[in-house]
Amino acid sequence: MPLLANTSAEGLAERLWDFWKGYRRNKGAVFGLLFLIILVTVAVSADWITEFGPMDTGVGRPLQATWQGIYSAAWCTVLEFH
Amino acid sequence: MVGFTAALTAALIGVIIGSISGYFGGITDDLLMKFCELFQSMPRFLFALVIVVFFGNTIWNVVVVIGILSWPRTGRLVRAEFLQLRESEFVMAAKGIGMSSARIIFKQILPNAMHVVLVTASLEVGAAIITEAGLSFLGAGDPNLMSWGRMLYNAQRFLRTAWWLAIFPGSAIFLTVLSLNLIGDGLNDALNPRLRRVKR
Repeated sequence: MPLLANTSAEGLAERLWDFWKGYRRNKGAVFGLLFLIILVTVAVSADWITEFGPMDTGVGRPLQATWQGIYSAAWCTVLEFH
Repeated sequence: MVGFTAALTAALIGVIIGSISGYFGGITDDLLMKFCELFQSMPRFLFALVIVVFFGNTIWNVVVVIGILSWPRTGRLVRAEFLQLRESEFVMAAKGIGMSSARIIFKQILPNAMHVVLVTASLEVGAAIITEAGLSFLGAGDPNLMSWGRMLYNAQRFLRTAWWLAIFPGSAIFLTVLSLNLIGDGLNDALNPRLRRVKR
């Protein structure tokens, strides 16, 4: 009960550990959390992963790697939705 | 970001209205629940579409509209939890030592009802992502920002020649919403005191 709750740092750590013990029993929930962490990590580091902006879409050379420069060659179709 | 902000808005409104309604009861409860029913009776997606079209399709309009239309579920669940908890001994004790209603609501009852808020909020994030994707797919999303719904909207013309333009954003929406629902289940398992008692 809140009137008797242990609000110290140790109490908080203990409660977080209790929460995690309950949470990890559900394997689906652990998968969901992992997927979300990966998604957020990829979104945050998008600037380092790719040099292209989110508004640029290239459909001209579907199987070409980004480092081969989908925007550089004249034979490539690039669609930009601005 | 849209999903989390909209869910936060919905949780905030739902917690405030649900806690006041559940704690005070009587005519306050009746009036607030009628207000809640008013929102629940509206077709959520169509109403969001109309509001966004009328007030402009900026990202903040989309977030606020989804948040405002999503609070009734949280509000009702918080109210139900408050109706049960307000009769508890610790609430009686808090009243007995002269705590104000606001302190009882926010310091005593709300921490015990937080599991409901967290589980509902995690589900609302998924629902908000789907609503935003639906709005963007119909061209009512923010044109200056890219979203999975907008990617699907852009991919419509290339479904035959570039199927991956639709498959990857669609899969991302599916997996993210599935993950959020699974997280909601996990939060319920970990935080719901009734389930915890059964398992231990």
